[in-house]
Amino acid sequence: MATDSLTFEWTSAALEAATPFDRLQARGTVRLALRQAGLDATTVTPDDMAVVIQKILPKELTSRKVADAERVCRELVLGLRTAHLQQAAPAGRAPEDAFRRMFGGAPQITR
Amino acid sequence: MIALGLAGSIAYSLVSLILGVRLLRLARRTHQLPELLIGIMFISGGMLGHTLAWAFPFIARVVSSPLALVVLEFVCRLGIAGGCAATLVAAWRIFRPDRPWAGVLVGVMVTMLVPFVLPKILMVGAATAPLRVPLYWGWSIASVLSYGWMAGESLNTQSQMRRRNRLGLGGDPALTGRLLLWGLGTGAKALLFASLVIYQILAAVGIPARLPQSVVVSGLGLFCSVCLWLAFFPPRGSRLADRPASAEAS
Repeated sequence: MATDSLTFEWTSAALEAATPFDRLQARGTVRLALRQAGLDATTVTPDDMAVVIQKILPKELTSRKVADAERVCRELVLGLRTAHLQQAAPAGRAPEDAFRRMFGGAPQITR
Repeated sequence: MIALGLAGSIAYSLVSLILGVRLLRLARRTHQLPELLIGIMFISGGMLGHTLAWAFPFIARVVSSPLALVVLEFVCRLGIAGGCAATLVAAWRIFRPDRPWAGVLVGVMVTMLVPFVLPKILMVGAATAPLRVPLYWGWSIASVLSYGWMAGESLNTQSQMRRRNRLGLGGDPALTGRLLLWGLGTGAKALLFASLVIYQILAAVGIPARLPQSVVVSGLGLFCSVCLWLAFFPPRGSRLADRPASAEAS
């Protein structure tokens, strides 16, 4: 059974500390934001999480009546960047790798 | 009408042969399970099982030996069941390799496919009323679910990729589009299996079908063939192609 990534754990804990959310609410909110971005809690990387925090999480926090959601998200990104978490293994997107190989090696676009 | 009914079936047989050989050759180089399983899916289920299924009435006209026909039917059923089994294992190993429930599901479904290969031994008297036999429902569900699961997982992965593309998270729009075609193609194959059950039910309750079964099967086969072909061989210069024309020109 796959376990949640260190990045997910760190972000959920930081969100719990920065908002009135309890552990369950914080983890659920981060999980929902990841789902909207097409990402998975088990494989999300710090770089991808930073994008999710900047582009999706503010709206999620505002809808949950969190005061100053933008500031909370800015601090989360800053904390994430200084936490020096390890990137998840690239094998996390195995289905895409398998189909890329089978379809004939479409070039992978990396950021 | 016969030609129309055969067009999709012949197309699917040819596409299965080409893609199956291509994937099995790839598997020989890479030693990876996904291409091996999908290659078996095409060769066993498409090229062998599907082809014998639509060609059987024609073969039966020229082959007089009852034993030869029994062997052919057995090979046809073995091919179809093998294709479904390979698809099930592929869906599990590609999309849910770390989920125990997926392994259990595959085990149950493959077991449910076994009677399909030997119906005359396991289902005595079922030929006249197969809907009354639980084993019929078992293999019908397993066959629809095999391609349906593959389609669902592919479309779900494609949807996740599309959302990532929108956020600029390492997107690959060409692969996203080709996975959509793959999902639609395998979904059409699942519908094809489902249509066989639906026509059985309609015949059993005496409701006349508006379209001949051969036309529905052929239409789905044609749609499936086009989708799968374009997933593997997108038109040059299209957004689905590996290298768009603009990139090649530069």
